[in-house]
Amino acid sequence: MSNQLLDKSHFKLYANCIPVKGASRSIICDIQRGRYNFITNDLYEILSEQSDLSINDIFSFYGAENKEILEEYFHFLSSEEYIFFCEFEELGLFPKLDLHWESPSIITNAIIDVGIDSNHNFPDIFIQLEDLGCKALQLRFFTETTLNEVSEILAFTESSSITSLEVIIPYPIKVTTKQEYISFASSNLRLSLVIFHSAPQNSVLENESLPCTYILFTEDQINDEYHCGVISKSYFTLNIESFSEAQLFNSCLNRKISIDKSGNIKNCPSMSLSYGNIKFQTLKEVIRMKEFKKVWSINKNQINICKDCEFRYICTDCRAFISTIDVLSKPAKCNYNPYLETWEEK
Amino acid sequence: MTVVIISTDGDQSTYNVIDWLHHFKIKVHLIDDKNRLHVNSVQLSKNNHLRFEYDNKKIDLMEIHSFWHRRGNISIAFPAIKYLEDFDFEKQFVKHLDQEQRKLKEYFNFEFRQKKHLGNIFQTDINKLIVLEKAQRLGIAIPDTLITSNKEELLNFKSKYQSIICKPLSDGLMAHDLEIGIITYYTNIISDDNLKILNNTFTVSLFQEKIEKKYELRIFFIDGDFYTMAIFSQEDTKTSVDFRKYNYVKPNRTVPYNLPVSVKDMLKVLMRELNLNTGSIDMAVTLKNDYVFFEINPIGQFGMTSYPCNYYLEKKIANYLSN
Repeated sequence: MSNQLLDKSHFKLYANCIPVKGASRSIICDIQRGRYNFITNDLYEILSEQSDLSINDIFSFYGAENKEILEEYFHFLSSEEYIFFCEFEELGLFPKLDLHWESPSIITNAIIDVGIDSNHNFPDIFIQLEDLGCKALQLRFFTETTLNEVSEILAFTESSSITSLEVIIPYPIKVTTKQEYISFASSNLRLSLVIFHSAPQNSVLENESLPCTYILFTEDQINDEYHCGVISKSYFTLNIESFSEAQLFNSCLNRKISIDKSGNIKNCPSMSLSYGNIKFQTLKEVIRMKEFKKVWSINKNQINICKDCEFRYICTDCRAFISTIDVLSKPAKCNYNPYLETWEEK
Repeated sequence: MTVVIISTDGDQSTYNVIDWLHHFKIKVHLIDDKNRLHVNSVQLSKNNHLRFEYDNKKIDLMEIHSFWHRRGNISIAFPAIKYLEDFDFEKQFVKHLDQEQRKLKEYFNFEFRQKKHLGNIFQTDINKLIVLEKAQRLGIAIPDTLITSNKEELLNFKSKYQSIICKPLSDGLMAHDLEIGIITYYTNIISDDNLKILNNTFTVSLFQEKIEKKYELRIFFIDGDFYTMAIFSQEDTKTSVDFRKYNYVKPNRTVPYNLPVSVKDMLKVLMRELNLNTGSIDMAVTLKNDYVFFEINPIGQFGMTSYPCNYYLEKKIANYLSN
């Protein structure tokens, strides 16, 4: 490392390694390799404010007493491949990543809930979603259903633009063999995730034949729309698409549409506000309403506490369960404190 | 407004562009290699009128605004004739039908290219050697290149450079065999061991000096604009010779890059000479900061440049086709 330091006069962050400053610490988001790492706010300053200075200038700026720390910083940054060493003339050749986000789809993702009294016209709904360019669809079944019944519904997506399907179903009452689970999951190649809720125990179905489909069992009873909105490290997403979308848009609700178990058209099934019912309104009619789209652009730079959090561009959001009546308050089911750097037990 | 796209079945980049065309409310006729084109009528008169059918959809050339040849080829329906090898007449006849099809295809391409178009159906298989020579004539640096079947000549060539590579004159080879697995042949370094087992003469092959590169450049060109990505492949021995030998655990860093205007100007001339208005250009920046040109792929995968650099090239292509 020290050889490289002597070799080249400057350094540059790779454009897809982006530092994000929090209230008390920062992270580097490696949105190419899908990882993040903690850094101090001091190092954040060096990476954002002093990135045009030569390495020598940075060392002399901080003085001899900080030499060791700086060496440690640079060693860390280069061994993680967050930076490369270069000459002054090369700095201008490497622009920052343009983080604007756009999509050809009017709706990118949708949730449809199915309860005991639901009477959704699936073929018609799927045609409407197709027309909106929807790519990802989640179907949640709160009450008993059979794999056959679900398969038949999914079959209506066969020639649609939907590329990713997630299904949440109650654990079958009827004894089901591993082979039956696998043949269900392989009946539709768009299925990327199948979760069986209210299962006897948490587990993952091992299956080598379907490398692109995850089949999970969870003890959680997902029997209504209140089982959502949890903010956790395990839901962090690090890729260029979600990172750029999170800059200006809501990381859960942007371009989402939902139909709750009663047919109400909402931003999210857990939210109380309905903009119509699928029996009487089309999805398009609802999307035309300005009010409906308002939540799409509530981003983490505006949300209280989240705006001080180092995880703000990799985290999910929830506007259904929020901590106060203020629409810009922090998600209620988040227990991270960015000022103390702690995840509190609740 | 209607756009005709020629592509291959399952090409994701094609679908991504079509999503944008739909977004712009533009009608798309996708001609992939699943079916054959049925020509209904071609009127060669003052107002040429070409009508054909694809996948049971009637298409009238007059209604087509623009045309994109993404990849693949069109095949026009001609009667399928089974022939017996022994009957020379039938063999000749099939050959003749191929020629008939070829001429009609040429005419289609000619007509398409009167419209706003992207890509050239008869230029997908460009010749690496001609491209290298043209590039060099325009003052673009290329690696020292030798085509030989003679060991002695190769040894002399190798002694001039620290390291040399061998690459196909045509495209890379990828062969599947259930017993053996997948065999690929891209670009390889010629080691001393390789040379030892070589006969005095061998199949004529392409050799180049190995360029010591700081980073590779993958440049997507469309209608005069350049979108460049730098690939830091040198740190990784697996990919330092050929970027396509991916390292999935720790992929090479791929970041946007500002190509100097002087390089852009030379490349613009080269593309014009090759009659290409789009393509992916491979270059590298050497340790001495020289820009060395390797090759052009007229139907290159722009998705692999678009996504990491957030360039939205799919939208730019759709924009070009719809304006």
